[in-house]
Amino acid sequence: MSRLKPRDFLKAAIFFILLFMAWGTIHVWSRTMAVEQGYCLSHQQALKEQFVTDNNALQLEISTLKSSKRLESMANDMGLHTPCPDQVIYIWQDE
Amino acid sequence: MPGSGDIHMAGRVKFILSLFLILLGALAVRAFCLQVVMDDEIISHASNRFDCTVKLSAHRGVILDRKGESLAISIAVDSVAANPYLIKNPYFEASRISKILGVDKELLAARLKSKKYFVWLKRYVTPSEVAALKDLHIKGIGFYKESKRFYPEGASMANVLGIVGMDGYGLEGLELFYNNILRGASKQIVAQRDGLGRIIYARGLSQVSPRDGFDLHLTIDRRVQYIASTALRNAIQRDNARSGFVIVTNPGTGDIYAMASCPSFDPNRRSYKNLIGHKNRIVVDAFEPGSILKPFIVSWGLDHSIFEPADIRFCENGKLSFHHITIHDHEKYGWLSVKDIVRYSSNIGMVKLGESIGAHDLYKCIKAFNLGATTGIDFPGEARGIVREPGRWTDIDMANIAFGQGVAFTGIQLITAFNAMVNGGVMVKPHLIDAITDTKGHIIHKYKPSIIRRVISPKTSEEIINIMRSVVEDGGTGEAAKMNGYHVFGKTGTAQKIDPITGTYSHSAYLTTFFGGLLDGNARPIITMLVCIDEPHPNYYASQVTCPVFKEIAGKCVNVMNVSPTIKIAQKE
Repeated sequence: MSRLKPRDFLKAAIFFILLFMAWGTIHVWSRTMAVEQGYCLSHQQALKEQFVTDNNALQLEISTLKSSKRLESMANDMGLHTPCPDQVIYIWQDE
Repeated sequence: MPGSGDIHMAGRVKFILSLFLILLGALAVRAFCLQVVMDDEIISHASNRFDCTVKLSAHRGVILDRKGESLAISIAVDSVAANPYLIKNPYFEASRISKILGVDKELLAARLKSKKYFVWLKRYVTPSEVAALKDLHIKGIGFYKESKRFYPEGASMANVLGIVGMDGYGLEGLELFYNNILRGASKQIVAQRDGLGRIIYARGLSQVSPRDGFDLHLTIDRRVQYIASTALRNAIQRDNARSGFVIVTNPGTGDIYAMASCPSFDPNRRSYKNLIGHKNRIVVDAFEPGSILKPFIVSWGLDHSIFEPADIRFCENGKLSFHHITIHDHEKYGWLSVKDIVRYSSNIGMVKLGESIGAHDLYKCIKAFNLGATTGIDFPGEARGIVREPGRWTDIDMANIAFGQGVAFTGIQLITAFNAMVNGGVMVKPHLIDAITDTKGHIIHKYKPSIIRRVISPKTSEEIINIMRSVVEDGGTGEAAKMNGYHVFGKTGTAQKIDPITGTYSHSAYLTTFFGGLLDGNARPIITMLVCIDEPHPNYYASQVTCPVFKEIAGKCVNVMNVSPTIKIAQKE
């Protein structure tokens, strides 16, 4: 059985050191990426919440603008009023 | 040959090398201890420092009307809080904050001086108030997002929708009844926090996101609701009344188009000073119905062939001595047919019809129409009403019940029974919810009309509608509800109230009611309505108080609901 030569030992040592460095680099890179993505997710989550809030606020704005009280008040200001049943003229719809 | 100096040098190198080896060994042992032996403890320390629990809140569902318009919606708004330990000069800061928030300076100062780490300064502030406060750069003041419920229709829908508390739970009305459906389910996840306190979702967001609350689609039409609540409020002011309510329904399906109570309250202000205004009187208040009970008894008698519409009874010229009491009619009537007894609302005629029916059948009639029992409407706090067992009725009780006294029912019971009487004889459960959908609009539950039982035959239903049509014709007690171009039917009621001091029927306090409806081209009722006004002064007759309200509401409803007139007013060439 031949003994391992010092040169081969050196090669193996360098290989394992490089492997270890590569593994370390990938590990650190992946952790950095995970944290970066975590920040990104956090930002997107906040953005989503903001959009939902904005959407609800806009819906509320629409509902407030269309509220019956407001519309009636505006119509009254313009001199409009609800027609009485005898003021409504029904016409035949074209066939 | 090496000198003594070289030998010394080699010894030092070996010593330093050994020292390094020992140190390296110590480091290796320490690393082993930290990584292997104490790993749980170390991870726990790290977790405590960086990990945090984040609550992903579910958004409360929206309440919409039958046309999809928002009636209740939640949005995130800021609230202001403080840590009193960080406030240097409480009086000075309270003075500055008070000018912006409009909160009493003394109250703010007391809160800022308190021995607590957290005090609210004002909940739900406006964006401009937040900006102004931030400009003050006060250390120890913080802003927190909170969900607030807004009600665009304000007081007109308040008694139906109810309100939501500060903690996001429904406290009254539909907000309470459907709280679990509207609230959704929040979810907590573990995230990490950096040195600046920012949240990092380094482990990703959970696959199971919080379930937002479902949206409620009501049967209520907010335009009809507004018309009803405005007409009711005006009538109460005009007639100096205490309170009142209006309910508008679809008799065929049990859909409730409007449910207005007055007094009401502004749900956007969260004031609890006038709790009487928070009641939905239609569901929670029971009252003696008075003459509006008459058509139920007549329809029962007709259905069981106890009498016919043309049968006549002598109405004693307006005055009947009965045991030790005297029963009056408001006019001196002689012989009246069953139809005219209803048309002119003769109490004496009804006493005689009641005698023909008998106590047990009268009780059966009340129970068949589900009066004095809950309807099962999807609203909290429904009252049962009061009906005693017929075995405990005296002859006077029976006479009183025949014209609507001595029993108490809620508005929702009366309109449900009325719908059963006029829709062909079938009792349909009343309801406020049309559908439940998720946030993407997918239908989770769709309401279908729920038929409870048949009460009277379709023929009797048609007969009683014809009788009630005569009530709103010329000479009838409900003439004031007549509408040009539409077939209207209904019945008036003017019930004496019990005087709380004497315990007898008052001659100055009345409860005035009218229930009625409109017929379509096929003589089927399409809209029914109950109007009730409590203690109007000085006018108290239904023809003066509630019939005009019915006419006003129905007249506007036909426009917004596209109900075309049944009488031909234009001819095609």
